[in-house]
Amino acid sequence: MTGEPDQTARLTETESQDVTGQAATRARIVDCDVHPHFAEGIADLMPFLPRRWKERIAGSDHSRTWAARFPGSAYAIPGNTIYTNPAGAMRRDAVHDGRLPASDPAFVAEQLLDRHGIDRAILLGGNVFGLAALPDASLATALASAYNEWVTERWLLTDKRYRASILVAPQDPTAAVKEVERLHDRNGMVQIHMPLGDRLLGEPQFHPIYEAAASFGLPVCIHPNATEGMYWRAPNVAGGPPTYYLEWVTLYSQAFAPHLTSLICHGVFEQYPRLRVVLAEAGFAWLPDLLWRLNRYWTNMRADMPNLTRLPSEYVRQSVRFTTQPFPETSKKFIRKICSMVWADTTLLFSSDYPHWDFDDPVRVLAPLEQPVRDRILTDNASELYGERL
Amino acid sequence: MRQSYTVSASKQAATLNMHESAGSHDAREIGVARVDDIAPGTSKSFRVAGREICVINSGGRFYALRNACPHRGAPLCAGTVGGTLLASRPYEYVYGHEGSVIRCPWHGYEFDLESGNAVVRATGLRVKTYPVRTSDGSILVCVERSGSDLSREGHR
Repeated sequence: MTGEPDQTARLTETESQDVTGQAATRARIVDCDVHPHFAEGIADLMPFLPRRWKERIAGSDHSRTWAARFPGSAYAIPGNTIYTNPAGAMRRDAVHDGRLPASDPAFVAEQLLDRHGIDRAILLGGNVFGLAALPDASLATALASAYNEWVTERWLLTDKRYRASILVAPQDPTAAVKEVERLHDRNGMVQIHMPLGDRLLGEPQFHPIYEAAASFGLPVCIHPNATEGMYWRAPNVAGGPPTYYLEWVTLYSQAFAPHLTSLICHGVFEQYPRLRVVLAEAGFAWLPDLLWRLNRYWTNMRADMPNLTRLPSEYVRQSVRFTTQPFPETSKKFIRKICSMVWADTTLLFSSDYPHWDFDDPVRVLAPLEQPVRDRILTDNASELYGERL
Repeated sequence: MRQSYTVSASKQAATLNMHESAGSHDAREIGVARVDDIAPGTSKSFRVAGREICVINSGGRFYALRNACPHRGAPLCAGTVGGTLLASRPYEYVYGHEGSVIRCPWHGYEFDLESGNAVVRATGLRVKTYPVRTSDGSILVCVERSGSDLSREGHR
């Protein structure tokens, strides 16, 4: 790819602005996975939707009506309706004034950013993960656009520490590219959020999205969809549908290994060397085993993908980043080993997952690591990835 | 419903007309509130002699514990008090210990209000608990003059 500004040059520029005092201080702690929520469900998107979709979503009077309560009467974005966390899915202290967790940007700023010294929070919409499970690509595209306007108006404009992700509907890659082209230079947009569906990410229909992402210097972020195993178009859960939330939440990171493998084997990182992919809340302790297998098998089975010029693991180290939450909770010795096996000083990005129940605190969870690696995870890896957009 | 107060021993004696009573030469009792200030089913946190302590009224019985989860430091006072599922046979669900288990507001770990032990003992986690009693309408919490609970980190 050509035409993409060099990330290193961007960083240098930001730093020199700091010296002159013309720009805000460089971010110290970057939280790469924070979930803003709708205050009133999908009705939050109504002001940002064209009339056609308003009527389709909530009935002809454009409001929240009885229609939303009956199957077949109103749309909802697919979500987890069959697995319930018996200990609660949200931090209980994130409920504020009776409002839903993370539906009030000012309270999130106080409870998350101020209290934990977080300077940048990258937002991934908490109600839109299941978008790719909608069979209607036009509707999904309209909802993605409306979400992007909602997050801009309700969040980006309320606190300069928030950064957002351009939501796209992967059901219609052409429309997704148009949405990226529409928003790539909007202040505060730092990456593309591509919800996962039932097609693996390396497949050629998605390549135009990667081409746009690479040319605009926007990483592509994927995150669990909260619909795994529940909808035909949602990512599957290998083996079959689990019974309990505990099984489901433990296993949903399964989906990431096939997507990552697909991106590598389809040569996406070879074709778009500027592309960066962020696996959010995907875990990372599984990575060494996957890469050992890929490297080993590629050496004698490369006939299917002769366009690859490097070991599969090298593409991951160069082009793929992983957010930390849920960070492993084991001995210091094991944590340090795992982190060194996945090149944590390059690949890991701190994330809290606020306001979800499995929230990680930036100080406590990284305490087992040595200071230089901690700094890379909390700050530098994100700065280098997002450049001046951060 | 849940509020936070700072209570120093001297202010305590003045406002509640209480005295520090010497439980032993190494511990002291400090009045933190009137019984009526913490209704059944509610809790309040207090800054007591260098510690943040959560006082809970569960069905008329008071408990006091360090207001920091030993797992990740969450404020336990924002948690919920209830019971828990007892060990049972597969597909049997037996609820017990009603009113004597607190669930952390962040990660949902459960602790016994009396002993402070995590319900899942394999975690090795225990939250510091303090003896508490009522006298003449006041809630008295007993803290040690010096102790490991004064350190910033939680306990294992």
